[in-house]
Amino acid sequence: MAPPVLDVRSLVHRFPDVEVLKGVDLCVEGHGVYGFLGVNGAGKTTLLRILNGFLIQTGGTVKVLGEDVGPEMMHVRRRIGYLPQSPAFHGWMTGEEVLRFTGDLLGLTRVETRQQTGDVLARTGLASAARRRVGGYSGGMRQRLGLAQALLGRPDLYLLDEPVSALDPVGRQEVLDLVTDLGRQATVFMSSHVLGDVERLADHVTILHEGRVIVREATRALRARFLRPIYDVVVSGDTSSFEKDLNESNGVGSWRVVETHDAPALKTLRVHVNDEGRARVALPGLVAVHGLALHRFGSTAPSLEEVFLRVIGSQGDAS
Amino acid sequence: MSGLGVLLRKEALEWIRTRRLLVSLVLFLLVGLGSPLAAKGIPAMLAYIPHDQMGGVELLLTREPGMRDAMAQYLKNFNMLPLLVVLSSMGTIAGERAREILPLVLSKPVSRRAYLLSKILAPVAVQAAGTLVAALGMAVYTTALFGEIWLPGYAALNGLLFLNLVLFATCTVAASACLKSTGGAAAVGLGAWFLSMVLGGLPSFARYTPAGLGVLAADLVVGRPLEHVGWCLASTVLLVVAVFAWADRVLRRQEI
Repeated sequence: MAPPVLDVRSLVHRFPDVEVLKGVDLCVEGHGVYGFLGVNGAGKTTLLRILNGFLIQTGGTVKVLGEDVGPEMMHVRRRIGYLPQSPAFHGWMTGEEVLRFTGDLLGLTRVETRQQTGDVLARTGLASAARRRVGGYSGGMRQRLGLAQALLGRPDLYLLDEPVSALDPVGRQEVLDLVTDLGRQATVFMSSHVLGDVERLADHVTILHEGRVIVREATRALRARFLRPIYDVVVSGDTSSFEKDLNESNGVGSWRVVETHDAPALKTLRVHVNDEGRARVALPGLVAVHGLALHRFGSTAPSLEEVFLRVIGSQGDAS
Repeated sequence: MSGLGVLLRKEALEWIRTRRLLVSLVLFLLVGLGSPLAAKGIPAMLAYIPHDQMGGVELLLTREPGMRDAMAQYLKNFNMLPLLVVLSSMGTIAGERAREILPLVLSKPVSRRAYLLSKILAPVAVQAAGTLVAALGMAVYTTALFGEIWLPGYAALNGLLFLNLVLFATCTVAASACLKSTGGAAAVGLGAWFLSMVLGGLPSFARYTPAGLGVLAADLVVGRPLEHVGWCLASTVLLVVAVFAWADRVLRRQEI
């Protein structure tokens, strides 16, 4: 039986002034896209650096593709494609030369490098810029080139740190499609703070919060577990007394105001309800009692963002 | 050593593309050609200065300048080249780290030792080529101006000077790796240069240390017998190896 792709146990990492990882356990097995979420400072990049052998952990064990990680993990490095958050290259090289250099480092033959270079340039949309110097590339093009070099050698594991952070909406779409495709043939472990992207791509989600893994679950199961009906109530008028009553209402679990920029006169309140039947009747009545104009009222499915905020929120409450 | 050949090819390409190789070779050539010219031309120029403009200094040219004067001038000029070595090596690792190029290279199957070695061997190769260019320029021009060249002494002189450059390159690149700072690497390289000059002023002590390379070179130029050559060469080679081993150890444990 093949060992887990990532096997992290009781991982602790301490910098001189702060403990970033406080006993992380993580097991990733099989192909697919694994979303890795956390607020800024949660320890995502530190974990990715440890998985790459760039940082030696303070405590715990970390195995990648069955081997202990460390600075000299030569064999396993051939099987990992890594994309840092802000990939940087020698400005004097052309995109094609960067990939040739990468192919040489991976020990590919000239023929393999040539074939794969053409392929990854096409897949990342860089074919027309391949002979231009990287020094003249935009941030988005560098991110695409970073992804292209990670694809070379057809690795078994992709460690992607915010892979679409520098891309425009079109580029973002293309790269996300590519990542979905990669997940069918390999394991993609992808950190992101864009929850919509992770929701679209990831079969599994890991949430890191304050140095600990607080959620590790299939995306669908996670949403189902946290599935509570949500109603969007769009109103106009002074909502202060309505909001007060909402807090005291029995059927309502929690609510928050959702930013709406398209219609500033309207206010959207996203309400998590405990009893859907009661809420469907009670909420419009409550709006009417407070003399507000109801513009829209309807239920909506919880997004990963809702789940993430609730999970992080409940952790904050617990601590 | 995993990836060394690939990294060396990339270094060679970088030295060529960024024109650092061309600039270095031109500077070496200027040192080679300029030294016999200065040896021949400076006394001649001084002789043309009217007596009343010499500020009371009496110029006594007891003999015509010769091949050994050209060698002495060559030694003086060459002693400025460690500055070039420090400037061209100080950012070699610290700069790649600052620009965040390092993680992408080291995420591939490349040992950190191979990476460090490629960063030292590249400037050393350039210095070898530069020393050869300077030596050839100097030999040809000295022969043309003075009609002779003392080849064995001249070859030994260049060997000593080259070894001196290797030492400075190793120290600077090692500091670039360990201190994570281009400025820190420059300070170490320049500090080593300054220290070698200070120790060179104490020849009886310097002969047992790498600073003795300069003393030996000066002895060669004036035709004095060479003493304690083995000590000096052995201590230099030992220091180069020790500095490399230290930097290798630090880099292997360093956070990237």
